[in-house]
Amino acid sequence: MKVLSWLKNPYMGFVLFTLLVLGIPLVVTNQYYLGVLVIIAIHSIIVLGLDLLMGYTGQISLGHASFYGLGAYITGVLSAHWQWPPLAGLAVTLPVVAIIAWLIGMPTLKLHGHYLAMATLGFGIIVFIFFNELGPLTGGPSGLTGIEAMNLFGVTFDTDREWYFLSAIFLLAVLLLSINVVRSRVGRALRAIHGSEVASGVLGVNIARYKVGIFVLSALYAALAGWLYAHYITFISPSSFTFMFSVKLVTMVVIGSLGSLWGAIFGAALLTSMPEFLYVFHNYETLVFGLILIVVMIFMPMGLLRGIEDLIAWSWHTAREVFNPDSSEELS
Amino acid sequence: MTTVLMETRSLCRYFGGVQAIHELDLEVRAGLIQSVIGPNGAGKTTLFNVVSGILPPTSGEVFIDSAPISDLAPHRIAARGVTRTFQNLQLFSDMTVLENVMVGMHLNSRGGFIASAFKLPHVWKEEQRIRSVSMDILQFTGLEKHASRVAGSLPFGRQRVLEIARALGAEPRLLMLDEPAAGLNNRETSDLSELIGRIRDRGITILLVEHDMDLVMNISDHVTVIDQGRKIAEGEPDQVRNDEKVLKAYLGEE
Repeated sequence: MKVLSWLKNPYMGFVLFTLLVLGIPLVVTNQYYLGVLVIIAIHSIIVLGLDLLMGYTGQISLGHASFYGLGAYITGVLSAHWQWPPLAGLAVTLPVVAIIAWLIGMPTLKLHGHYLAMATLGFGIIVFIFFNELGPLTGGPSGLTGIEAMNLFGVTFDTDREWYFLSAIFLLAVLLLSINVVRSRVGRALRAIHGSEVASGVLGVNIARYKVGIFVLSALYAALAGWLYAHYITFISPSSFTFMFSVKLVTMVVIGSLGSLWGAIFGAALLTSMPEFLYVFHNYETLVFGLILIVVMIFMPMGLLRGIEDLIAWSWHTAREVFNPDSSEELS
Repeated sequence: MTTVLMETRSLCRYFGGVQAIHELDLEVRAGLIQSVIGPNGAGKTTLFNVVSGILPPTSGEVFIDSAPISDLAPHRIAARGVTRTFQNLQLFSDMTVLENVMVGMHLNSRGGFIASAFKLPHVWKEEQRIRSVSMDILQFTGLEKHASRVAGSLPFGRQRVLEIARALGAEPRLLMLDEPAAGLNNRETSDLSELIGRIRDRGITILLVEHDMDLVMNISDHVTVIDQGRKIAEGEPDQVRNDEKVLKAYLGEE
């Protein structure tokens, strides 16, 4: 059991995860699969932020696809029309998205109840309309072409293998920042708000400020992911940033395990790669996908990762009891 | 004459036609244990909710150090040195006992989003300090053995004590306890009474709302009796105990 608690230390988990990420390309050399892993890393970055917002703080956003889209379009437009280098695009993208998120969060997060969900739902639809209608700038429904490939400090990233490492570095950095936030005074305040707003208030936690802060941070994660995506695919269209994608992001958080950073990555990996596996079901893909969701929600309401943890703990207990009935008392 | 720490003047709070608090004048003097008692529905919890900023008053005003505070949000009132516990427990039940107290220390510690995300050196040091002060508080309240347990899994009596420990993390000048003995057995109640005494000895003023008369009469320096939102008597425990109006409120007319 000591090993388990040792594994539970998130920094130890981070080291193991880093080793895993570095080891994968030794086994996976197929360009196509590496490409899927890049998309998984990009989705994971968004879902980590959404988990900080939903799982830790208890606020729901139904518009994160639009922050992802803004991240992609701002840098995309600057790159395609004015040949801005990617880093300059990022330097504009992040502050702009932060200000927009702050403007949405400020009035809605001061209210009790799920006004943020409503506001972000509406915002997502408005942004989607802008992407479609601002034709001269965004290319309209047919998309924006001519975005420059990623180039950082003179290094160009072309192959999927190079992209694998680049996206992995960003994912690991975002993960480390998130672990730090969760295990700090700020992270405790966020979880306290989730647990009881009145109690955190009378203990001096500025509830509105923390809610807005974590909302802005999660929007920044999404914008960063969008920036990566735009320079990876070098072509973007509104259909990647729909309301349905916002819902899919929420599903990744919930399926993975609310309030667990590992669960967030797990959920992103599962739902991103699932179409590759469900491919064998042809037309019944969506049906099977829906069934999986239902089964998980009924039998593992805390999410898959926690469900699997419980399952392992349970079989461990049962095995010990079967093979060594006398030891059952020590277990507690 | 000790200084007045918190004061309400002509405080009213109505819910529709119900006068939960009506024209209430109350003075809490520094360094004492003061109690507010009264029959069910007398307005005691409403008083706490208004003073801690959870509910705005209908009219009247609350003062801390002679400054009006009823426009302030709860976290600003907490920053003035007033915090409280809840009758229906409001623990962060998914967090550990230690983490609950660490949240309590929110006001006495520093570190925002950016500093925490990058784990700057001072954040790291601050974290050590928060942890060790919180452990001291757990020791003071006798919960140190349960530090790493999830708060929601504690027995009920311990959860009540944890609410107090968490509030102590805020290093309040005025601690308001909302029925801390509700649901406790005799032993737990006498432990609680001893703990409240030790908190007062630390220089923290206590305002207590409680139904357990023995507890109130034993530890209070001053008792205020309210009924139907109005103050009907106040004074030292012995004075109040024999007051005719108080007996009437509790036992009924005739």
